[in-house]
Amino acid sequence: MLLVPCPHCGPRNQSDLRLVGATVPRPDPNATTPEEWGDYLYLRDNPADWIEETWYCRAGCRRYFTLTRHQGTNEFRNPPMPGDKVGTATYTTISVGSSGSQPGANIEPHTTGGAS
Amino acid sequence: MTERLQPQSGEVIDRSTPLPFVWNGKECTGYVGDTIASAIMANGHRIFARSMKYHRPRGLLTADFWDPNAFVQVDDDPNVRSGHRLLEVGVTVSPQNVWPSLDVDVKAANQLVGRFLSPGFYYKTFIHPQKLWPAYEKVLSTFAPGGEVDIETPLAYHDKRYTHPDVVVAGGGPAGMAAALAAAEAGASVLLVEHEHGLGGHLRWGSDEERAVAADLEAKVRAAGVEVLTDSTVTGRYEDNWVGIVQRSHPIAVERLIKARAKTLVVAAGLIERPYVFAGNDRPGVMLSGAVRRLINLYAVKPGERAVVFSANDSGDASVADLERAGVEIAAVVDGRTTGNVIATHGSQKAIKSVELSGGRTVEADLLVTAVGWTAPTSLLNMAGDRPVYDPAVARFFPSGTPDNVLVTGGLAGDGTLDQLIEHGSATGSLAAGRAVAIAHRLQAATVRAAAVEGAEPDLAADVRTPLGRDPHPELFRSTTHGIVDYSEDVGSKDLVSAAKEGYDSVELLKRYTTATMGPAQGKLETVNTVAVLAEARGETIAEVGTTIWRPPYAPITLGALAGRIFEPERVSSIHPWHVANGAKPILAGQWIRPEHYGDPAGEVTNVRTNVGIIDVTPLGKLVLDGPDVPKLLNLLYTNSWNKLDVGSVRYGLMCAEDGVVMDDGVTGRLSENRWLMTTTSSGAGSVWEWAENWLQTAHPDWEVFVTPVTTAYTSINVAGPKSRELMSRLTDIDLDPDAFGYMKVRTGEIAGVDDCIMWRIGFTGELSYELHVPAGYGLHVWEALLEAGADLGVAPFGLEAQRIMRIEKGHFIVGQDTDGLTKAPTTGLQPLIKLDKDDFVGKPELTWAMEQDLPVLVSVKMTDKTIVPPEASQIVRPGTNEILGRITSSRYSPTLGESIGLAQVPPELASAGSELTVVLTSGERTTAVVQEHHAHFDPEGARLRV
Ligand SMILES: [Zn+2]
Repeated sequence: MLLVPCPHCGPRNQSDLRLVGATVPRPDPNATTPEEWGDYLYLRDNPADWIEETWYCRAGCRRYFTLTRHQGTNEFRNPPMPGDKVGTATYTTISVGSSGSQPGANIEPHTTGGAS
Repeated sequence: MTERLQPQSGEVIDRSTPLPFVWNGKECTGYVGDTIASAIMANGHRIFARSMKYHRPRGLLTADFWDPNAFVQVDDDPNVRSGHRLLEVGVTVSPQNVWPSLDVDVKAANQLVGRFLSPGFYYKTFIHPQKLWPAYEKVLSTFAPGGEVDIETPLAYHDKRYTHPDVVVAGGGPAGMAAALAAAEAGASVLLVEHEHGLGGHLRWGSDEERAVAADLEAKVRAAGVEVLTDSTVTGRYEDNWVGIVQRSHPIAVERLIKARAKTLVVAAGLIERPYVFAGNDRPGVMLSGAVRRLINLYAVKPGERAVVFSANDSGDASVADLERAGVEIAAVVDGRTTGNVIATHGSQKAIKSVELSGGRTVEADLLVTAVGWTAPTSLLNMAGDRPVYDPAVARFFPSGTPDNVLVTGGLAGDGTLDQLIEHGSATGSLAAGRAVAIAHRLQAATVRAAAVEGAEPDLAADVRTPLGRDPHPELFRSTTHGIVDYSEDVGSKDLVSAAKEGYDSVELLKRYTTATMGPAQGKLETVNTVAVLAEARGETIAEVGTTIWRPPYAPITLGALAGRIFEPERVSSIHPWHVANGAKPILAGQWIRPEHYGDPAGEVTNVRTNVGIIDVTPLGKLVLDGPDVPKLLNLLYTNSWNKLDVGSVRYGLMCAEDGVVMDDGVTGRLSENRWLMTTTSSGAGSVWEWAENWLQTAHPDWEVFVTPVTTAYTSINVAGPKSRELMSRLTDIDLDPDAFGYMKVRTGEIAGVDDCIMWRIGFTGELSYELHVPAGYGLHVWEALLEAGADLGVAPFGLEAQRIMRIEKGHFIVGQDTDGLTKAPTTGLQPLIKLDKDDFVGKPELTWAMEQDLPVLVSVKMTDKTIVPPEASQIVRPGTNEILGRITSSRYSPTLGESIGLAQVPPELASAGSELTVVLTSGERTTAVVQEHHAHFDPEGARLRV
């Protein structure tokens, strides 16, 4: 049972969250081919290395976010910040103009804690 | 008749409280504090069981939890470890695996034909012919060990607990106690878990001085606020120090499973004494030094009259002193540190008469005590990724490296004086507490928007402990003779050698082939001897052969504890009390308890078709969608178009996943410019919410939409039937004129005096009907108002069964019933709702291709024989063959039509009206069904619901 660093709720048992899966871009639905779409649906690289994946904090804040996890050691790094890329697009808080929204920001390593 | 020694200074029995019990049909008496095994021994009994394969009589070997010979039945409780379980008053204890009795065992004849029970015997003998398997199974099951399960046993309470201590210490011996104390003194919250009934480890059966040290440590541990669990075992260590603990000592629960998330785990599991392999080593009267020390010092039980002690260490030497004090005559002490050796025991099946020693000497004795070394129970370290390394100079395995959050102390880490062990434990506890602080900081810092952490992360405390030493110990595994290696599985060293010769010469293969280490002791006693015998057979060292990997659980957990308290809720609507009071037959649908019917489902159908009925549809998933971008969201999630839905209108939507498979469906209404109510299937209420959030949060965070789940905020009631308009008109001022409030329209207003109700006209039943969503607190009121106001109209409740019949009469499919995990949208026949001209929607590419594919088709069918209702999921096959072409997905007898009707998935070539289908019934008989022109059997034009 992993301990997953939810950016909002703190460290949580894996069973409080749902692992959506490795974060893969969605092909253009109007220009894609069956091969490309099949890759998007079913094929993942599954390296013994760092991957970006999407988690859903279903028993807590109910937010989707991206974490970077090493599939060999299960270590997490690069805790997400508001504005980090999530899933196929960019994570910001919706509609409420919450603090720290930085649409378009990419994942950068954050070495210090706290909402900087 | 109790035979006890004079009171021993460290005994744990309370002689003032005798406990009568029955062993093997005989009246016996023990004391409070006795284990079942010590009480049986104290009553003069030496034989506890018969062995699994050869049915040889067996006596106590280790006299603790791991004793392979001491499994008994206690009342209705089978496979009780009598070396560990405490005696309770009045219990009936019976031996297991004996037939017809412990004294005379017919199956003991097995040992005469032992060569037929060589390794792999079962695999080789019972594999052919396969058709005889049922017969084999009967024979084998009478030979299977184990007690008897009484199916009348009442259910018992089991429990679960979740806890988050800074430090978990596994093992309450001197080092473990010192670690717990030091960690607590450093400010950590500490959970100390001890497998036995009391703290102290091997000091419990030690000298007065040793016990005084243990008592002092225990007092300090308790005073320091350490939570102490005895008779509890750490069973596993998982990712991020998720630690499983089984607590057998809970005052109420039979067993409790504790899931602890520890910042650091200290493993102080101690050492387990290892048996010695030689001829006759399973004869009753052969015991390990720890067993006789426990029996004498804890329970004042004399283990024999005349003993030979084979000692290679301090424990063996101490047992000599204990035996002498207990008045046991010492016939010989053989020193395993020099050239002494034990060759064999001789005697009857039930007792030792003499012991054959190296040098040709034979000594009369009824007790042989061996002290040949230790097994390091490295299970928890294995689970943390460690691969222990064998040290031949010390004859045991040592840890080679654990993660930062797992620390080792005590006998697992090395040897030393008692002071040195305590000092090492103490240093380990301080280190564990220090690391817990750094780990806690790191965990919190990784969660940027949770509570902020102050300052930089503290350095992970460095390991500056003075390592424990390693005392030399001779490698003593097997004598010059062969004997039993695995007592619980009846596997001998000869069996291992022959299996190795057969080619099963890797330790993991050998284990599975011979079943050595796979019995109830799970390798605690026999793993190292197994490896040693294999190494000898291969002509290699133990280090070269390696060992098996210990896996969880360390000690067994009952299935009851694993199941534990189940946190699955049962859900009911606000009308539930009325359903119960009015004879509804309940049915569990997902988490919901719903009325299946109120006695006469067919009558309920007829009443809806002729008068008016009401049904509680509260479990229907409901989401309020707010914001200007709701149409964009609906256009994305549903296959159909949502651009032009006016305020006051509702629309049916079909939802697919990205693979084009039907995921959900339901009706969504526009309540005002920016407020919508979406309904989902009952089972999809949670997942559709997550699905909508997924797309909003990850793909379209710029869209302005709020999603609010309101499934239980509203009680939902469907009012259906030709008289439903008349009924509603008596309870609401909303204009119900069909021109003002037509089919697929929604209105909000007051119903039965309740404000803020939502009402829309849809028709799952095929009749004029209004679906009401009323604030949940008033659900029962509105329900009762409907019944009262419509009494003269014939209003009556109907349940799920009547609704199912009516929806089949109307040909409406249910997602998950008539569709499955491969059903793409075109199969449902709703091609007009798949709007490929939309710019985008979930599953669009897949559905674009699916529209061109020959997919199965969902059709309505009638049975040729009106009286036969094939069970749902009956196969449709090609006539004259067993080739499966499709299946009946729904079926019912229609009281409206007087016919057997259903829905089916069939290949396209069988989908046209009039096609005959061959349906296989459960009996194997075949019947035919005919495909209908319309999905709806009844009122295909839909005239009744548009009135
Ligand atoms: Zn969360």
